[in-house]
Amino acid sequence: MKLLPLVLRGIIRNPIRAGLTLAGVAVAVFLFTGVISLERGMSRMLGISAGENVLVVAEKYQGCPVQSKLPAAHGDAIAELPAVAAVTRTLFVMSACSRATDLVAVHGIEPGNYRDFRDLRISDAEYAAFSGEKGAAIVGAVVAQRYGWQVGQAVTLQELGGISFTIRGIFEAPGNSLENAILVDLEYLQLATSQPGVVTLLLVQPKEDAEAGALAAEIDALFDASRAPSKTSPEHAFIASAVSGITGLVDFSRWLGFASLGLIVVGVGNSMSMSIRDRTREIALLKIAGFRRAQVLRVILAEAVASALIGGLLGAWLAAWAVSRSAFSISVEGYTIVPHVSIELILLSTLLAALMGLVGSYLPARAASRLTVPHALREVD
Amino acid sequence: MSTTQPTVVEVRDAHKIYQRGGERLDVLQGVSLHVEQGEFLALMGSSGSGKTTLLNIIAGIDFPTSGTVVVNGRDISHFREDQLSAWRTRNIGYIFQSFNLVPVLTAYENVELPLLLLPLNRKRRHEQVMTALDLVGLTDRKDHFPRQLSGGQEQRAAIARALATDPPLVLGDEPTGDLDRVNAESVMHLVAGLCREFGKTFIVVTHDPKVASAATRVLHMDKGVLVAESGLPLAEEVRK
Repeated sequence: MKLLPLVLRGIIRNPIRAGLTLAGVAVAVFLFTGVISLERGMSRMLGISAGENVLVVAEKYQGCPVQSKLPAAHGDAIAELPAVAAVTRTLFVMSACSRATDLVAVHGIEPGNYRDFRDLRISDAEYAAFSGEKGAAIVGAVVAQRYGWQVGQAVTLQELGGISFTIRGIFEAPGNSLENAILVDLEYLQLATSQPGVVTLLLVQPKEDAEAGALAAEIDALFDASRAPSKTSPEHAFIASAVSGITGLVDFSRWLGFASLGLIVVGVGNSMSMSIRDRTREIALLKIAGFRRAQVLRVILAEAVASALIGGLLGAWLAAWAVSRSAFSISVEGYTIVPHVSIELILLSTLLAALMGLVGSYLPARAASRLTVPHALREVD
Repeated sequence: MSTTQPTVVEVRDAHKIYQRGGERLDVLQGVSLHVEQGEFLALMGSSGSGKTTLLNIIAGIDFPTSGTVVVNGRDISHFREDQLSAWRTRNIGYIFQSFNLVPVLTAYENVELPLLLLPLNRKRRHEQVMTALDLVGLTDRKDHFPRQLSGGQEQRAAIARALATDPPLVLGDEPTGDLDRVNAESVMHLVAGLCREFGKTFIVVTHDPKVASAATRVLHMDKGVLVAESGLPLAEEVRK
């Protein structure tokens, strides 16, 4: 610990060298955090379901769930099945607010029982105000923050044929992408989009003693001979299948993230190599003063790790700031992936940066610690 | 030369051989040397005579190929590198010709450097640093960085660092080589005075007869061997 001030002075009093190292690490960590935030956003979206047993009923033979069209009356028929505890109907439409990548989902819902399926954090008063007014909406916290919307504000979405609503509440839905959605009354959305009696999906809550697989088969059998046959599946599987097209892209972006961590190893290693070459005399002075190999090694490693730690924290914080300020999202089959940077991801990015700094600086630091004084002095003279 | 003082440095038949490519360099060829406490010894000789190598071996920053080096009663010729490092902190103060200070540290922090390796609390370290800076008259410059100090002041700071751990032996490799005459004399008088006052032993490598004139004994080296030894009479001759 007594050597810590020596380490910090080495960083602070070499502002150009330290600044360039920090900047390099910060850029790499910014990239890493940015791409991993996309993966985290996808995980949050996959956590949308309120329960493990919730079933999703969609139109059969429809590859794209958002294009699914089922008669709303299917919900009534499903509700009469003895193994069903509850059914709620939803209609999805997507709206691009300012550009193609700036997407929000508008969900038509049945306010009466929707909260049995989704964990919405909103005051009862606001939810009651929303439930009692056809032209009302509640909006996710992410959407509200992104567009600066307030409770009481009237909004018109030109992309959706001029549908208007008044915001009666702002909700949080920790752990899923509903925070990037606008919820309006189902019938109101059906009328506004000229789709009366049509829903996109039906969410079914089986009774506790019911077997979900058997119930899914029973539901599909019910409509098999109808003009709108259904395909029922557990919600987790349904969402995973819906977004499978983008999974490869997210996986690839993860590798890009890890590659950017590799840049830290190379960057810090290069920076420390050059630094040590410039400071050969300084290292000789430390050794003459009595610094042992291990102490020289620790001083140099600590300097590299501290630089990487500070740069990493800066990069991760910048990524969090950029993600929170950006309207970027990816919509897949009616589900919206919103990049998400949590405190945990910031800490992970920072710690990984420090680890990469340690790895990158080890060989130069080891070489410096093994430098003999006569050799160091000859190199300088 | 008095023989009543304890022996601080005893070098016996030291050889140092370097292999450069296929070439063998016999830098030291059987040097034996005896230095007593409180002596101010000047090592003179032409470039390549082996005087700096001898100094480095006494300091424990280089190893003899053969022979024995005893400093303060301990045979250091077989110490491992880390043992030498720890030993050096308490036993040796070393002053170079130039670039003696770490550029990103203030004069105070440079002097504090070896003290960081000793089990001293902050208050005790501060006292020792201030004492050392006071001895060389640099307390008012303690917060200056090396680039803000003159050459003479830099060497004074280096002397303060060399003395900070209160080592019995102080070594200098051309410590006044980069200084003008006035500063060189000032620095040498300072070192000589401090060694006299505190009973330190001082060995200095120099080309400068003026520096050697301040010494109590002068040894001449040539081609890796000691070729002549002079006491004060030689110094008197040089002064004339």
